[in-house]
Amino acid sequence: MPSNILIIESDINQVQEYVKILNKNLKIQHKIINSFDLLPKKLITNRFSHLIINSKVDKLWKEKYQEVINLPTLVLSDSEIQNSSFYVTNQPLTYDKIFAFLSETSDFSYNTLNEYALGEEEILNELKKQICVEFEENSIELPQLILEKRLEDIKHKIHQISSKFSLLEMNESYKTSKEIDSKILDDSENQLNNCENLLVDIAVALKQLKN
Amino acid sequence: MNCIIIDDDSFYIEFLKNYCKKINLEVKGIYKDSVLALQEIDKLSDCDLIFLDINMPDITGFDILKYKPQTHVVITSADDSNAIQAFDYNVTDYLKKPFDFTRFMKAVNRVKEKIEEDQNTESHLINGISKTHNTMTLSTIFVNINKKLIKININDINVVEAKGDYVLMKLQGSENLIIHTTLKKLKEKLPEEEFFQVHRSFIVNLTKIVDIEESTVVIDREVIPISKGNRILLKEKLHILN
Repeated sequence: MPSNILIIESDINQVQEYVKILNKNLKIQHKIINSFDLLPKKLITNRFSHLIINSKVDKLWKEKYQEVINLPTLVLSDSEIQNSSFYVTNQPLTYDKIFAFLSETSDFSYNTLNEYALGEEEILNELKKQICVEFEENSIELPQLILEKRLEDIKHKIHQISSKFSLLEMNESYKTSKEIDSKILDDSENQLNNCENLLVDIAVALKQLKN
Repeated sequence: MNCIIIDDDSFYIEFLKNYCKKINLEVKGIYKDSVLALQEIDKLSDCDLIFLDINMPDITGFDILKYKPQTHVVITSADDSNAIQAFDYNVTDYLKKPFDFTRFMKAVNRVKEKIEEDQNTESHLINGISKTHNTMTLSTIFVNINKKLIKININDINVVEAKGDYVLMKLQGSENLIIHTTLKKLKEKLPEEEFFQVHRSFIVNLTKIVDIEESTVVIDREVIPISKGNRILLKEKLHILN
């Protein structure tokens, strides 16, 4: 499952704003619920990668639900949250802010790539550069291929990109790209949707690679 | 030792180049375009090892394998579901991308071992022929099969067909033999006035040809393809024989 955000927000105007924001640029996959009561079930039954919480929905949310939250979480709150690893903001959310949160907190590591580069910085940098070029090309070409439903071309590109996700330890993105590679010719509707979601992961990887 | 890399993925070309450099394995050629690689299939055989990707547009790695490059092939693929099919083509190893240096070294060492085995076989063949020179003129050849030297009457050889790391020797009136060598090496041991390579994968005994058509010859009821480039040469050769 690529980037997929669960949002808890009860203000209907704010919900509409999120829908607008998250469909801007690259569509970021998300689900919005209006109550914390549904949180445990949603976390178990759906594969979310990130959580965004409006603390105003339930002032006691931390006490009640902190234990079940095991995802990178961004909390909209006017006050600091003590003793937690949650990211906190008191500013309204924008696409850039959400994307920055995804980029900073998504699975990503150079450990495997470094091992494959035999610990040599020069090789590592060259390999990073190659991945960067490939991801940049894909971030430009894939949206058009998806639009035109050119399944064979998409399959080939995703096939190539899959092992790079594995090298960058983006394991969920790797699994999704393998699924697209193996199923897109028979199940184009679902897999084109997966491809769109994977574009966010490509952008996240690029952001990390360019840091 | 040297190698050729065929892969449309720039990342893995760079990746392999670095690993090859580490062990002084010369990269003799790089083909990012598999169509070009296929056009230059004879060049491909002129190296010790090919690192071959499978999933390439237009011409896949399997398409290249069908043309039987006469050298060792190590498949590099992100998809391991092709492994069984690849080994049907007698590839020496199969590396699933991404692969680390240890696994890469294992594949290269496998190729080295095979090359050594080939050289041993070659050496046996040479010994066999020298012996023939001394005692029986050039009418027989010795081939190494399962560490046993078997004497073959050259006149009994109808056709020799390349089969990956092996050749299939089809004999008149007896069972076919599978020999661990390459067509190229065997060709050097056969008298050129009697034998001719009509196709990348076939050497035929000219004295056994019963019928010739535009693109085939028939030997012992078997139809053998003649490649376009060899047609004229074959006709010249037969003319000289006549």
